[in-house]
Amino acid sequence: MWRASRRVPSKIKCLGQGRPTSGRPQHPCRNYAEEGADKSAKAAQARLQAVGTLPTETSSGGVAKTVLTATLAVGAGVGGLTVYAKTSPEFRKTLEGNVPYAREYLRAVLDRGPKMPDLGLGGVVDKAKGMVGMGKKKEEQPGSFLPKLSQSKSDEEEKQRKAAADTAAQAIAYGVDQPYPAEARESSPTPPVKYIPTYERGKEKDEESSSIAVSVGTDEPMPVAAKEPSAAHRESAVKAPAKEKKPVGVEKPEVTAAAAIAASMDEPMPPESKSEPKAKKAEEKPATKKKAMKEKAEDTAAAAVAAGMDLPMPAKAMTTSGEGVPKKHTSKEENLVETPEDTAAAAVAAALDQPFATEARETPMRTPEEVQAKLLEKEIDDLAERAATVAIIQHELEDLKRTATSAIHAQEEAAHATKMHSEQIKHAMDEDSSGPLGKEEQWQAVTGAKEAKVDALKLAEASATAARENLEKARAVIKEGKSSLSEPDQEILVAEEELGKLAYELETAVGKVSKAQADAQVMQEYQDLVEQGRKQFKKELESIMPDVRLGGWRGKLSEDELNSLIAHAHRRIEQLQSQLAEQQLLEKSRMDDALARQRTEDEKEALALLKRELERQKQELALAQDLRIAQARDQYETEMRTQLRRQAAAHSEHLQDVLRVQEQELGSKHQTEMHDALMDERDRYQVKLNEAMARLRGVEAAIEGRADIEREARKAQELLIACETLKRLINTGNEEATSWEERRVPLSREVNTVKEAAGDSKFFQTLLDSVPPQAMEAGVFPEDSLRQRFLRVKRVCRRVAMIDETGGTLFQFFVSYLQSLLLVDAGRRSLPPGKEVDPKKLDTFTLLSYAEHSLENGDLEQAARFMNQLKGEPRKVASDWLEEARLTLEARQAAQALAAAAAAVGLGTLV
Amino acid sequence: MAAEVRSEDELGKKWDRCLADTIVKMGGGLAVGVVFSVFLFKRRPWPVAFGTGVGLGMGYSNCQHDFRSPNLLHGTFVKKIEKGEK
Repeated sequence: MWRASRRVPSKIKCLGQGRPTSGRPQHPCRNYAEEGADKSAKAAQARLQAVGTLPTETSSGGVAKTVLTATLAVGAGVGGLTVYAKTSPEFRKTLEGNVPYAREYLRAVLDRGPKMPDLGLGGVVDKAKGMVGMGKKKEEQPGSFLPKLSQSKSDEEEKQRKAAADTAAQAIAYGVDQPYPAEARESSPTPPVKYIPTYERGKEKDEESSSIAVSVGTDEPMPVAAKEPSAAHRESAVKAPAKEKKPVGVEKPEVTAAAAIAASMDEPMPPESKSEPKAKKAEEKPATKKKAMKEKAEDTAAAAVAAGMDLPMPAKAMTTSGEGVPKKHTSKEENLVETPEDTAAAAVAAALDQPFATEARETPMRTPEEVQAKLLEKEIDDLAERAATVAIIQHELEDLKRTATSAIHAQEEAAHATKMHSEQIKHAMDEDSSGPLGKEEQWQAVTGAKEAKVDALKLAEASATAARENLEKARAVIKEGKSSLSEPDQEILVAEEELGKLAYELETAVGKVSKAQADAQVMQEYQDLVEQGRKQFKKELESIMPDVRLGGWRGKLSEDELNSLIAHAHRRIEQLQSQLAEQQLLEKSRMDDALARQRTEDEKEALALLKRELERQKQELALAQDLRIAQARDQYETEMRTQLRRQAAAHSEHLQDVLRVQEQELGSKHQTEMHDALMDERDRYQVKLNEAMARLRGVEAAIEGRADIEREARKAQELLIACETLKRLINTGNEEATSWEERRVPLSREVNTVKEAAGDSKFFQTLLDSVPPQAMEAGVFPEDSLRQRFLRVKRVCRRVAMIDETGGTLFQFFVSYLQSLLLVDAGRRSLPPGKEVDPKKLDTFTLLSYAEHSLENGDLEQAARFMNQLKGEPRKVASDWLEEARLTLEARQAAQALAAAAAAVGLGTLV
Repeated sequence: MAAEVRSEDELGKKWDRCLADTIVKMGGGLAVGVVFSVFLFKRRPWPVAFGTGVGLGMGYSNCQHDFRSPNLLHGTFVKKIEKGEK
């Protein structure tokens, strides 16, 4: 209601505005002009109307209201849900699950800004560090961290918005390479796995191997814990999610090498361990071990060489293993320094079956330094090999020594045990010396001794076999070493010697054992015999007196039994005596036999001993010889080396000189050839150029000629156009003019154009000069204008026809006017053809008539002529017109002449 | 003079001038006559007529004179403009 009183809603058309819409009551239009007059009345009227039409107004507004309300409600609902989702993640999850497109909407609304970089990587890293307990190697963490991060980024935002510790924990679990974090940190001095390129990776290997070499060289048993994690660490490094560019194939030998090293490290540690005696494995191991040893040995060799060469090489292998090969040396001869490294790394790589292209190897042209470097390389190689083999052999020897000594011990033990056992038996067998100790105990002691003997024998046997196996191994290694190397090393020979000694000792011990065993056997036989006799006796006694048992005397025996027993005993004694006599005889013979046998056996033994001694001697001699040979060879080798080096240097120098000379020759030849070729080329080029130039000139001339013609033609055209323009202008004048008066256009521009177009032609100049200057400045009336003007002129002339030059009174003017009124223009008189006109008979009216007629026919000239005949006042009146007509005629004449001339010229050019 | 007077229009102009002049003179005469009539001749009609007649006559005379000697030029006063255009 209030609204209605203020204004009329725009939707509703008021009465009086166009067509009234059907069905709707209209308001009267408010006419604001009338407002002041009867405002109140109108207002009252409007109010009344409004009251009457209230329902429709509200109904139309109601729709809007409903819509608005609905929108508000929906918006409020959505907003509330969004806010709640923001606060409660579970609710958000449920929403996203149940409502379609909720996820996108919520993501768009709630998750703003970049999340990932701001997760606090630094904090995470610190946490990781804290968890693992590492203070250094910061740069590694993000390296391994980032892939995990990208993975977790793809997770739901829920996880993202949760603690960053989750991702940190994830990363740490399988991102960072720390399988044995704490131990490795403390024990192993080598750094953890780094993502380093291949070349440096070899160097890193050298570091580790050098550390191992230290342990080997100085015979320091490295802590087990350190080695195990380092080996396992190596393996883990191998297995780790590799970002290295090494091929997989390289890793296998690495693994085997690592395993070999680890295995080799494990071997000496438990000396009592019983390793499976497989000859094949024994041979394999030396091979791999040798390779591994070779690596280590090479570093030592390289270090030795470098040290020998007086290069300031930091003690990389000899002292600490912390400083690795990767440190660069600041020596002058850098290539020499690098080649040891290179060779070390290269050898490592070679051992790992990786093609390693060092610069020293690839250059075809060698300088003396390079040659020396090559020789050095070879030396180092050799030394390294030798050192490797020596090391291996020594290692083996130690093993052998240990096993051998243990075996010998065992053998001695066994021999002792056997002796003990036999003594015990003897002791037990001796019935008299039993004393207070019962037979039972003695026999128990015997069995005990027997058991001990058995054990000892077993042990001895086992150790003997082990020792023998080691011996074989060592022998094989030595053999291999001898075969692989060019000349046997002194140390190898020494090793061989030791080997022989150990073998000898072992054999003697074994011999002792066997001897003891033989004795035991004799004793055993003796025991058996005694036992047998006793059994016999028992049987006989039992046969005689079945009740009586030896040792089981119960009560008293009867006389008969006693007598029979005595008789049996006597008989037995007699029998035994006879037997004894027999036995004595037999014994004698047997003794002789035994002696003889013993003699033979002794002989055999002596022979064996002799043989052994001989062997030993031979070996010693051989060793000495080999030693001497080795020495001599070394000497020769070094000498030859130096000589070869000299020769190589000389050869390279000579080669250089020759090459220089050749270069010069070739250079000069090449120069001359080039020069000739260049000259030829230039001449040919010149010829071609001349040709082209000539042609070009011809073309130019032709074009210019053509151009001249064209130019002429164009000029002529221009001229023609200009003239035509002039003519047209003169004929039509200013076309936009509204009345004939304004149709004058100054001709100066066109005339100038024509002048320009005409150029130097005198004819045209003359013609152009004939154009009256007034025409140029003021312009010229076209004929139509003149015609129109003429009407007026005619009228005025007619009115003043009676007045002459001297003027006239008003009365005359009046009369003349009257005359003009009375004289009727009988039509335009035309000149009869061919008839001459008598000038005296012409008066104003006729003249005017003639002039008009000729004008009608378009003959301005004639009209002008007629007008020229006017006299008196009419002449004065028509003078301007006449002047204009004359100008026009002149201009037209000039223009026509020009146009004709131009056309002539143009036509000329057409040809 | 921006535009020249055309020869055919000259007479017309003359006549215009003449007429204007005559009217002016007549008016002047009338006015004088009226004045004379009012102030001197006690509102008699004859000074008015007389004055008008005098004016007419003067105008006529001028016209005639003008028409009789057409070669006499009439000059007009022109305001001097800064640029010096006449």
